[in-house]
Amino acid sequence: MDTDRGPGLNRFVWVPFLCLVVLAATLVVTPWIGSSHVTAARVFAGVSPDVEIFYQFRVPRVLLAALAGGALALAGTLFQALLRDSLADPFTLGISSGASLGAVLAICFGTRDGGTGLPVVWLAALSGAALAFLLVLGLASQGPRVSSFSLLMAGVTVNTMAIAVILLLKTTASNAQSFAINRWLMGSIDSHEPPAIATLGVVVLAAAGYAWKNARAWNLVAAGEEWAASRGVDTSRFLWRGFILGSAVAGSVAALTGPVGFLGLIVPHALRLMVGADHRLLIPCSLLLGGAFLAVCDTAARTVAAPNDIPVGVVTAMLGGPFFLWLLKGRQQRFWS
Amino acid sequence: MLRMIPGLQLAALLLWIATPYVTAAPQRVVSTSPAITEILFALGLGDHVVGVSSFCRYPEAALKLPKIGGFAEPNVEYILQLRPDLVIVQKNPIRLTERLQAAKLTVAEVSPDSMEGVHRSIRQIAAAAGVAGKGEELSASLRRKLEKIQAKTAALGKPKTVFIIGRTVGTLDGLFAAGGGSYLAELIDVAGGVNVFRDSGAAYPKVTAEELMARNPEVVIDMGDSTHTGVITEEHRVAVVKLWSKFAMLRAVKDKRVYAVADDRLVVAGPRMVEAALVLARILHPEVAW
Amino acid sequence: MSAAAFRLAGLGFAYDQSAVLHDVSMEWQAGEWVAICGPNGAGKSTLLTICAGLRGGYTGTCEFQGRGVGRWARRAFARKVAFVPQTLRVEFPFSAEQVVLMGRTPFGDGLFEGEEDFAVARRAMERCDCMELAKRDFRELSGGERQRVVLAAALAQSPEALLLDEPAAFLDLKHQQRMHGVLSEVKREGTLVVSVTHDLNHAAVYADKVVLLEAGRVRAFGTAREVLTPERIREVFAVEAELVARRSGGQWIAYGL
Repeated sequence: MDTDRGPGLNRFVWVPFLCLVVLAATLVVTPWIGSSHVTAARVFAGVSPDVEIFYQFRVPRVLLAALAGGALALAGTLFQALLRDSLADPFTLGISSGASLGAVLAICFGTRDGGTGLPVVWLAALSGAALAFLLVLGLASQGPRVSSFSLLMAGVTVNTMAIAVILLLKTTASNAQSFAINRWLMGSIDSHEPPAIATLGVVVLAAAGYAWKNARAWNLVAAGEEWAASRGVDTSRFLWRGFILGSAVAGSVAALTGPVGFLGLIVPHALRLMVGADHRLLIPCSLLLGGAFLAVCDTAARTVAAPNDIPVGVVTAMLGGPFFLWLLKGRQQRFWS
Repeated sequence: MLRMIPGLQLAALLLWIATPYVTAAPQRVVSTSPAITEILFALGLGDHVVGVSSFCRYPEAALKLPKIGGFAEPNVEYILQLRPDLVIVQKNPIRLTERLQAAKLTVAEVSPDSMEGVHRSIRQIAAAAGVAGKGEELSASLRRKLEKIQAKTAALGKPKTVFIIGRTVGTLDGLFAAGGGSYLAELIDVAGGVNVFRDSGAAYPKVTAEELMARNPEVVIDMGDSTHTGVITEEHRVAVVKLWSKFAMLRAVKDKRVYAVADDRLVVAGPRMVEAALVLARILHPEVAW
Repeated sequence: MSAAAFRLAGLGFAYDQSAVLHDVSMEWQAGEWVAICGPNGAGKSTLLTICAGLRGGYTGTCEFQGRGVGRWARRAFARKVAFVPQTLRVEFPFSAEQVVLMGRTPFGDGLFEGEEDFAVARRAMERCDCMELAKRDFRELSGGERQRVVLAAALAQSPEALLLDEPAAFLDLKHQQRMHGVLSEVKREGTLVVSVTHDLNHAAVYADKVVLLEAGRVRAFGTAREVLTPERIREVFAVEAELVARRSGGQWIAYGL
């Protein structure tokens, strides 16, 4: 037992620091990798188009990938703690699909952007995420209590309904619209709007900071609702706040990227196997490693089939799926040995 | 006289049996795609068309015809209720042809997905409708007109062009462009441009903005915000140009050669391909009178 | 402390329309061990969880140190009252040590435990004989081991009242005895111990007071000798019972004859 504070605290320093190093390395390296040939010499000398490609596209894209990945992993960590179910994430709870439906509705029925500069699609996606979340929560709550089983069931249902409506809209969409809809069925890190990326950054970092500050309460809730209540947590208030926090994070991401699956499941899961279930580590580490993971996946997505841009959700699923199975296998062995 | 009757009866019987095979022109034709509908009307068979897909908006007469659903998921029951004697199907993965044939319908399957595909489809449809000669004529005339355009552009410079087919409305996110081997790529070719994404294996690839920068097109043709209306308002044109100003270093943006288009002719590979090529030629070569 | 630790008056609870608890009125004092006995469905766990502040919607009064349990601030209440559930099922890989340290959460505002927290947790684990489990994954412990860890977590709350729901259910004989020893010790230190138990002899041997519940009503409340008579046991539990004198001087309830 860590009766002395030293080793215990050290762990809370070096583990996140290691994750930070991984993320920093990813952020430094990945902008230099891409389909077109960009050299450091030309970028620093300000030679076109290298300098524009680097600063206007690669850097924002890598930053967005890191933010989105961190946010999805964080949202997964929070939802899993709230529901005490390692299968909960923004996708299984219907939030990602809600965002997609919002975006698709805006694409099909929204007026064309008359030069207002208002990102109608993003706003619609955010509202869609919020509505899907409220619907799921409404379906799953009995009075002040929320059952995690019905929450997951409601999430799956809302997911299916949202995708059904999207496919319905697609059958009558125009050619250009159906391409835009495809983009929201698969999810991609291809937004280049610095204000949007900055906004996402503020939302994600604020949410992560707030969650981290309460990390010990998250530990209690992750161990059990009654357990948390008898250790000083006002559980029903905590759960509501937690769901709103997670949904705000997940919805903000989905509004920019569309549904990117697997990340919210795989990163928290892998982290728990590596560093345990303490949210004082899980919250910062999922943010950092989730970011690094998606930045790497997105580098693959924009490079391997160049000039074609593969949806990053495909990459996360293809890398994440086998990894997830391998983890499950390991867990089984531990259980049965 | 009486003796002749059995002979006549036999002849009538033979004629009756043979009728489905020798009848010259089918009287009730169903089309499952805009391209097929346009070809049928161009062949002068418009009066015999009794059903079209819900995407068929040209010519205007097609708008009033019964709809049988989209071409990816047509309603087989609707088709059967129209009692067609010929169904022309755009080749698709749902095995529609087999399903209709199983229902004892005469089906012709075409795939107008390229210029050659259009020529082939015209000949196939004309043959199935018993007007093979007209088909040859139409095809040859289209070929002549396209060659004329191509001959005119051959001498001109070839601007590097990107054709944006889809994107997230109101943003430059999620860019889909015309790739190599697409109908649009052929049109750009004829109209005297070089498609910057001609090396992409996909017909309509999603492309990265980075690649777009690196390929630095001189002309951007953007259909990304287009809806069914097919009309570009001045307000929309201004909005699209303003949107692209975010990519300030693009040659096309610097040269103010960003064009918003919304035109069914660019989407439907059919007998209006000459008009489509002219639409692009006017954009790519405004220096010449068209 | 002058006021009773817990004061229940006319306490009732109903699921939908059917009453689970009816008109429970009694007082429990600090430094007492109160055992709650009764057949299945008598309302024992419901009574305990109401006292632990985990179940609202009751009627009547349930006061801890003179204030209704629902009116306590959660954290302040958790610093005084600890609850030990029947079982704790955890989905995530917390170590036993982390589970015990969770008991210290209501005491600190910071993100990390302090010296005192570690010391208290360590003492609690030593008392519950689970030091050697500290680094183990809580999910992989046996039922009895978990129970010891959960008890240690409750002791780490340094509670003034310790509420336990069948704490001995999964323990082997040695650890049952050891746990009862710890609880007796805790009681002597001035903590109110309230335990739900099916083992009437545990109640008889260790508890100062016994609450006998039957169908949501208090059938009897008093010392074990007053409450657990063979007649009552027969009436309430529908088993024959007799009191056997132990060589050590106490009584042993022999039942199921």
